Amino acid sequence: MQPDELMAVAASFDQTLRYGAQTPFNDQLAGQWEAGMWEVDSTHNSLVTVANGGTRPARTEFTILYNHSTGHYRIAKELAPDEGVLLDFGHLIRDQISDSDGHALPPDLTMGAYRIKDLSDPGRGSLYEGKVIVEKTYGHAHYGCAECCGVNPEAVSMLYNPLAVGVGLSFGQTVQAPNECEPSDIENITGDFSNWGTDDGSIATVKPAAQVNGIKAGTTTHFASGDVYAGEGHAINHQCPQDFLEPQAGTNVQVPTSLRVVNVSVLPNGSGPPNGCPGSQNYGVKIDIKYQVLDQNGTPIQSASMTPHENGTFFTGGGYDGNIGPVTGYPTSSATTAADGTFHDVPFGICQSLPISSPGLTATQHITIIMPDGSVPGVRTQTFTVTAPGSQSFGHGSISNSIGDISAQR
Amino acid sequence: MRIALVICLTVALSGLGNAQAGSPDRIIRRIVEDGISEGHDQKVIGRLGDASAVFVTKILSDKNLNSQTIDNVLEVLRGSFADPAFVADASDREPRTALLLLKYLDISTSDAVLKKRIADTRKYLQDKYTASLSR
Repeated sequence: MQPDELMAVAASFDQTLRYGAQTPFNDQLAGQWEAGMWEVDSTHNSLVTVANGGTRPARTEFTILYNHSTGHYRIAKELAPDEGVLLDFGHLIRDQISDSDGHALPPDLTMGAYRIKDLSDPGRGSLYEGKVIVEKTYGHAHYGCAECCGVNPEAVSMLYNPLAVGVGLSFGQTVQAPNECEPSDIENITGDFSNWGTDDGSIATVKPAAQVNGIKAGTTTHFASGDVYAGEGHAINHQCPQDFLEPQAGTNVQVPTSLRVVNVSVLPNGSGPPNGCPGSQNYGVKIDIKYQVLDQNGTPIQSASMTPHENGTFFTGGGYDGNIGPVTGYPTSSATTAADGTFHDVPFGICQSLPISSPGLTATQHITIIMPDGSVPGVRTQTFTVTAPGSQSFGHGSISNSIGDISAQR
Repeated sequence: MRIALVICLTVALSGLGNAQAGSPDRIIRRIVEDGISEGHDQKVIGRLGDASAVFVTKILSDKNLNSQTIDNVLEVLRGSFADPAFVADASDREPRTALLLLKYLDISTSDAVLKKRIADTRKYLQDKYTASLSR
């Protein structure tokens, strides 16, 4: 309530004027409400109702704030469309009713504030609130006017800017903004934006909403538009405005171009998977190589939808052609990349019962990445050499590649 | 007894094709006869399960067993049953021919240490199969 503003209030007292009730009017829907003073003592009580005025269920969080907002009493409840809940503050305090976290309000508590949040849709929201203040002794009834809390329209942004997505892949974007009443509270308001697009549909598209799809290598801009509750305002004056907002962000469409070696580990000695060389074939070495898929700019492609494939020649001669994973018995192996765009080539190497004389045994490997759209870009070609010369190499072996970024010994 | 087992195991070999580079037959023959295993081998034999024992039996049918060969066979069997759930042919997920082969290997040696490794491999196969049933 601002100075000089008028507020409509419904009031009713009995014939003796001893018992009365007052309530301000409110017909505004919002995703968050912040309300000032409530009173509970021997002569006053406060009753607040919260209801869902939307068409979808709303996960509602009602928080009573006390002791200068250091104390929180939280009630979480899902409200169906048109469903409401009545909170009798006097009953909660007097009967020591536990909240959703098992806490009770202090028995001597007499005043505080409260907050209501629509956790299902903090941006637009569908909650409305009403209150009744009861006083019994000719005194004054006090109540704080609830303020609806929208987001700060000046600070609406895309979470990923620029957003990187591989060719033939999709990546979900998020629109976010700080809450006007609690600036440290960053709200996900993606659901408030129904219109999405890009500046160049040959590079990337957005379909369905918030899902950015890579079409071909390049850069463009993607954008969204929608009406969002912005700013803060007093519900009684219908000052909880909607703003038309159009956030945008850069888009980099990535093509697998190379691999970075993340780490190389020598598999332990022992018989059978997941081990490397057994005691009966104790010359040589087998390793686990972890790779990161990089794009044309050397940036990691973060996607779990890429299938590493290989062809080449064995250390012992002859050719192979197949997917790098999965390999049974080796748990780090997988058919596709992990969500961060990494994968393991395991087990790699050779073990044998006799020494491997210099210059050693060599194997070639050409790695490609099978993308969801069927494209198969090449990312690495290398030759491996394994040596374990002489009987003194029993239990040992060395492996290295022609690129120079893989070298291991046991 | 030994001859009878070999005859029994070789009955199922008629359907196996000729070796190709990277084929199961070629890979298993290299491991068993030459004592050489490549990392790529597991991608092939890990999907064979009990079928690997049939390949091994074919390879052993004309050979005298020594401890190195027996150890090499144990490697093939362990690799083949590393995770029976991934064996391509569901009928090969249970170690039947493999257990018969292990029995044959056991009576083929008097080396106590080697007999222990054979027994350990038998338990490994049975444990892996049991574990695959509970998933």
